[in-house]
Order: sequence, then structure tokens, then C-alpha cells
Amino acid sequence: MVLFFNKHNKKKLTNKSKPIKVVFEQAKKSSDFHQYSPFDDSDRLLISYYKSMVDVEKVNRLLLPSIQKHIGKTTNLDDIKNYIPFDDLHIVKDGSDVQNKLMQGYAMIQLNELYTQFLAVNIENNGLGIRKNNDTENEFTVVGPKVGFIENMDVNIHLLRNKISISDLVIEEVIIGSMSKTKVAIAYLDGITNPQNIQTVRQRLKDIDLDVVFDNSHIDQILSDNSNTIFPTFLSTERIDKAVFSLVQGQIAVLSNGSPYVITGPATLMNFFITPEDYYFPWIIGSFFRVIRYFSVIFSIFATPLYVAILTFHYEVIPEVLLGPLINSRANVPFPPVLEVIFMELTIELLREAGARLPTKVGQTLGIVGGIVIGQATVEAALTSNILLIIVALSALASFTTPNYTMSNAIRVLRFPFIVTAALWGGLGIAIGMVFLFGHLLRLKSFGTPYLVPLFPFRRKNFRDSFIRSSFDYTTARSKFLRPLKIRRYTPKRDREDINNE
Amino acid sequence: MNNQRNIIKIGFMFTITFLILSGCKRINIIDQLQIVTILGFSKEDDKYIGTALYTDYTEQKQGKVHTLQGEASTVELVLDDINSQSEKPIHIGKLMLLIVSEDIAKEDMSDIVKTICRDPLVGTNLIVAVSEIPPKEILNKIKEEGKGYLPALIEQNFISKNIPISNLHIFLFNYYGKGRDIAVPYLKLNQKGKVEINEYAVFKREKLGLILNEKEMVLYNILQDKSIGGQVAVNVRKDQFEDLAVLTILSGKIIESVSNPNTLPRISYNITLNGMVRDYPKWLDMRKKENNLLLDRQLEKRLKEDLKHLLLKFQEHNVDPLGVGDFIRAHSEEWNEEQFYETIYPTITFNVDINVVLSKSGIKQ
Repeated sequence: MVLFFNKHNKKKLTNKSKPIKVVFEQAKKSSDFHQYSPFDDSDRLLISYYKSMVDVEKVNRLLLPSIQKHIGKTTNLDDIKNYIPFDDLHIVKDGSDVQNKLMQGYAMIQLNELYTQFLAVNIENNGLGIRKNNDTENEFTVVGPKVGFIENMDVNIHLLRNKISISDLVIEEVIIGSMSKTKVAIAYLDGITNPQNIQTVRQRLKDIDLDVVFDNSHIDQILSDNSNTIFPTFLSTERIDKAVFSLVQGQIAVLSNGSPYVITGPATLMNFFITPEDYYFPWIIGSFFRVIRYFSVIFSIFATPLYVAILTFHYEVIPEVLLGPLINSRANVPFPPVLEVIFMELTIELLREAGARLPTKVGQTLGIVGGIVIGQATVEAALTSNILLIIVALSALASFTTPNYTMSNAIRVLRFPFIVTAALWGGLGIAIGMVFLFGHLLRLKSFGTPYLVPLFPFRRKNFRDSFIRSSFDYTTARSKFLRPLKIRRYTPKRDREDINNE
Repeated sequence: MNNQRNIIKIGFMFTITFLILSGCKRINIIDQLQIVTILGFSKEDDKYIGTALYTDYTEQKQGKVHTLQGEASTVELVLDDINSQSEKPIHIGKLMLLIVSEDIAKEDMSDIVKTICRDPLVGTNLIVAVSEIPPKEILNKIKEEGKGYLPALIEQNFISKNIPISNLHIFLFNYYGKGRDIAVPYLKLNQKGKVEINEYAVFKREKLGLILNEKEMVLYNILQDKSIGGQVAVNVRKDQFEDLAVLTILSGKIIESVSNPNTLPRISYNITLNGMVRDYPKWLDMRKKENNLLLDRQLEKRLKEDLKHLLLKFQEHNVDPLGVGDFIRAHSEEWNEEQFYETIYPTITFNVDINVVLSKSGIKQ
């Protein structure tokens, strides 16, 4: 599927007003469009709707009986408003409005076939075909609520408002997509979020010209400042508590109908390593897990390139006691370390890609086959060394510790250029790779906020919640880089614990 | 915008052309190298004979020890000669021990220092040692035993027995430093045929000056102030009894000071030693306080005598492993190395004040 979209000032396709006849002729081409009169003479009243968009139950039980009962008293459309048991009623005259509303599930009531005024009655059937079960599939926590967003945006908004129950939570809706007409909503906390950020989001969303919005991640890519990066610039989450946490900090959330993921921005690098579990456990334990996560990311990116660089160029660095096992394990391998490493990494990527698409029944067996048999067999066939196998397996595991799926993809991909530079220039190659990586990261911005905030524009106050999570007595302030209008979140009034604590 | 794109494209092209340059660097894949751990040099009729010992891990996990011998007229060519006999290229990046035979040490060490010790790939924890017999005999002996354990032997003795520490870092500092001389361990085979490290060789510039025996080595260690420890046997006399007591030094502190640096220097060492006597003569009852005091005073007296004796010996042979010349240079206005060692060094008076603090305990560590 090819997407056509333009971010900059090119002319947008606008719908010019169409005559009603054309609208109905176009609609009649589909066989799920019904246009009929509940009475014998079609001169009396005409109802038209798309059967697939409308809740047929309500039409049969509520709309038709009430019209049929009160038909004597009806002389014009306003009278119908008095007795129909529906709340969302509009009078529309414009052809394109009629078309839009028909597609959204409204029923058009026309007093006479020739009249050009319609009463649009909202009988849309929202939850049709959408899953009701909202367990988070991809972001699992052991403690804490397991509720997540689903594809229906009204339910999502309901869940959000459950958590933030003040009217300061403002949710603005726009329609994006010339064919899909998807409802996209911006959510923010009025009075806390920086109005400039909100204005930027509004402006960028308005400038989007897309035909179908498949998923929220498209909007993510369009809204981002830099499209040539592998790092996600927006935090996308399926969990309610994560989205609410971002909102409370002063970020802006974008929801879209038909996607269970909510994106929040502006996001920085540290946001992607936060899990809700850090907050549900005591702060020392939470900080410990967070530190493990950071170390495992560094290990995952640099372990295999270091193996390649050291074994190919810098044998002097290896301690004497380690020389024996290393040389012995590589004794019969015919390839240089680069080829070994690339072979193993590609095998693991193959396993991952294949495993993602397998039907569940076959997936189990393939996991065992791939993991154990292939690994063991390659060592015995002397295609790789067993020390490398351990390193590759550990770094593959370590790349899964990031809670955000897009970020763990980025880390997976990032390993390969490092392996190539390490094979070409050794330790110097890794340094060159790091220079490029840092050069890219330091320039990356998410809505104008630098990506590496507590580190690069060095902000000491923000360190309280980045590498470690300090106790709740100290995380009372919002991060300044989002420029919120109110800094203090809450004031802890705990009695200071002292030695004579009785 | 377009300009930026062009710049990025050009930058990309450059980077890709660098990939072609990858052929310029020689790769050293670790299992295709012969990594030499011990290297020994001796001289025979104006030719250097070099013996290299390496461990081959490709067959078995423990590693099999091999030696290779080469001879040539300069040190660098010796390595080439060894290389011509080996199936994998020889690399000395992980060299751990360099043995120099006594005849080279007596003549001139500078050739070997120039070539091997100044190679940037060699690590600075290399141990340089002098051996009494030609190194090839020692290395063949080790090959029979099957394990290349000799560097471990020396390093272990640095730590547990408190032999004065010497590695390439300290060696080069002393060699090139003005007013200092090198001192390295002295290897020899004992009567049972095992390699032993019991003596220390002190040099004068690049020639061997004198060899310290075991007791002098411990005293030298005390004076050196790097890690004071070790065990000294001291003569103890009470009334008509005379016997040996062993002082185990646990820690110590030494303060060096100089007075009158320009004309007639006078160096004083102020030493505090904490130790215990574990092995004392039977006729000395340690539970009595007067015996403790007696022991203490006798230890101090004897150690003072022995230390002074050692310092005089250094003066006699005109060697300066303690860096006295450097110390005096730091305290004087004009200092010339040649002149100092000819005229001033023999006239220095040494003064040693030593205080031994004995801690009593019956528990052996």
C-alpha cells in the first residue's frame, strides 16, 4: 500500500459541495445502502441509511415505531425532533455533509423526495467488530492494573477520564484522512501543559494530508521532527497508567480511532526505559531494575562488536587466563570473527522474524529447534565458537529488556553498523561508530526538546527520575524541559523519619 | 535544503570509499598467532641467542608449551629468526617475562632495552629478570614440566613473600631516570633443579653491579618503601644465649630526609616497622615484659646495623638502586649526574633510625 501524504504547504484536496442527487446515486451503487419509506406512499417520508453502519436494533425498535405513531402530527422536520427518542439530531442541507454523515452511521429523514432538507439522526454502531477484551498484550506488568486501550476511541477516552477526573483534561478531536476520516484526538492538561507545544501539535495535525490512517504510528512518523532516525521520538504505549503519567508530567497525548496505541510527546531518551513497575515497587528495587535495564542496553549494543574488535585486532587486551578458553574455542572455526558474528546474528534475526509470524502451534516447536538444536549444532560443526554463542544469546536477550517495542527494535538494528565498523577498524571503528551515533542523538529533537535531556543540556534536577527513581518525597516536581506552567505536583507531608522513630 | 542534501551525499560517498581502505590494516586474528609469553636472551661469540616460549591452545584446553630458538647478530633479527621457524607469526604483545643471561647483563643491557622494552605493544607489567645460567636451559626445564608458570612464580613472590616489586614500568623509570639505577630479580636453579628466586641483581647504569642475597633483599625492600613486608632473621643475645629470632614485618613507614645537600650530604632514614616475632628462641619467655623490651631493643640495634651495612655496600659498589641521587637532585641547585656519582656519592653519610613496634599475638595468620 502506498501512502501519499504531504506535510508542507501543498494544496489539500477539499470536497466541493455536491448536489444531493449525485450523493444518493453514488450511495445506491452499494448494496448495503437502504432508502425506503415506512409508509405505503413514498411521497410521505423517506429514510436512508447504510445498513452496515447503523445499529439496526435501534432503527427497528425506536426510530420506526415512533415515526409511524406520530406521523399525523408531522408537518416539518422540527416536529420530528420533538418525539424521536434520539439525542443527536441535526438538520443538514449540504450534499457533502449528507454524504459524510451517512458514512458515519447517521440516518437521513426526508419529508418528501424532492425536499432538500434532511434530519440526520445519529444511530451509529460503535463497538461493532471491535474486541472488548482490553488486556495489554505487549506491555505486561506483574503488579498493577493490567488494563489497556482498545481500538475504539470512545472507550479509550472513557478510560482516560476515569483516571484523570478533572475538567482540566481537555480532549480535542480532529478528522484526518481523506478516505478513512479517522477521528484523532489530542489530550492535554489545561493549565499545566505548555501552550506552545499544544499549538505545534494542533498545527501539525492540521497540515496532514493522508488518504487512510492505518494506525497511530503513521501519525507518529508524520508528526516527528526528523524522519531519518531509527529512534522513536514519541512514546507509544498501550497502557493507561503510562499514558496518564505522561499527561501528568505535562506531555501531550494523541489518540486515534482504530488504534490501541496512544502516542505521547515530547519524549526523551529516558522516557523509553521507564516501566510502571518502577513506581509500584519501593524505590530502591525500582531503581535497581532500571539500572539493570540501562546496562543491558549498553551490553546489547556493544558486546558483539567488542568481541569482533578484540579478537580480530587487539589480542593484547585479553587477560592471560582467558586466552586459553578463547583460542581453544575458536581453534577449528574456519571463518574470521566477523563472519562468525554476522552468521549468528542473522540466524537470531531470522528466528525472531519467523517466530513472529508463525501460527502458535508451530511456534513452540520452532523455538526449541531454533534455540537449542541450531545453536548446539553450529558449535559442533565448528561453524562458530561456543563463547560467541553465549555472547550473542545474551545480547539478544538483553535487547528485550527495554519496555518499549519501538526502542528495542532500534537497538537491534543499531548493533549491525557497529559490528561492521569494528570489523573494519577495530577499537577505533567502534569509536567512530559512537561518534556518529552520538552526533545523531545529540541533534535529535522531539517537538523542539532535545532528545538527551538530563544528560546533554545537563539538568541536575531531572536526574531524580532518570537513572534511578528516587522516593516519592523527592519526585514532587515536574521536569522542566517540558516547560510546564505549574512545576509542583504534590507536597509530601510525611513525618520525617528519625532515629527515635516510635 | 538542497545544498545540505548534497553535502550529506558527498559525505556518504567519502565514507563508503573508506571501506575500501580496510585492506590497509593487518588483522591479527587471535587463533592465528603465536603468542610468546617468555623470552630469553643470551650471548655466545658475539651472537645473540634468543629462546621464545609459547603456549599452544588449539589442540587441548590446557595448552601445550613449546620453545623455539633463534640466533642472530642483533636482537631484532633474533625475533625474525624465530619467526622463520614457526608456522604462525610470532607476536610479543603479551610478553610476561624477559630473561637476560648474566653475561649480557655484565656487558651491556642497552641493546635489549632498546628493542624489546621500548616496543609500544609490550605491556608495562612485563617482568625483566637476570639469570645465572643461560635462559634456554631454564626454558627447556619449564617445557619439560609442561606449564609456562614462571611469570606466575615471580609475581606470586612479589605479593606473598614481599620481594621488591619490579616490572617494566618501574624498570624503565629507573633506567632512564637520572640518579637512579635498575634492580631486577635474579633467577637461578637450585640444587633440586627447580627455578628459584632468592636474590636480586642491582645494576650500575646498564652493567651488572652487585647481587644481593636473601637477607639483603629484604632490607632493600624495607628501604624502598613500596610495600614493606617480609621476614628477617635476626640474631638475639641474652646473657650467654644467642640464637635467631624471626621478625615478620606487617607494615611500615619510612621517611627519607637530607641535610646539607650541596657539599657533604647526610641522608637520614626514619623507619617505623610494625611486626611480630613468631619464631623466637626457647630460652626467651615472651610473657615477661622485660624480655619483650629486650627483644625490641635488640631487633632495632641489629636492623640498624644491617641497614647501614647495606647502604655502605651500595656506596662501595657505586650503585644507587634507592634513588639517592634523584633525591639529592631535588634538594640541590646544581646537579650533574656524572659528577655526582664520581665525587659526592662516595662521601654521603647515611643515618638510620629505626623503631620496631611489636604486636603480640599468638594467632598465626
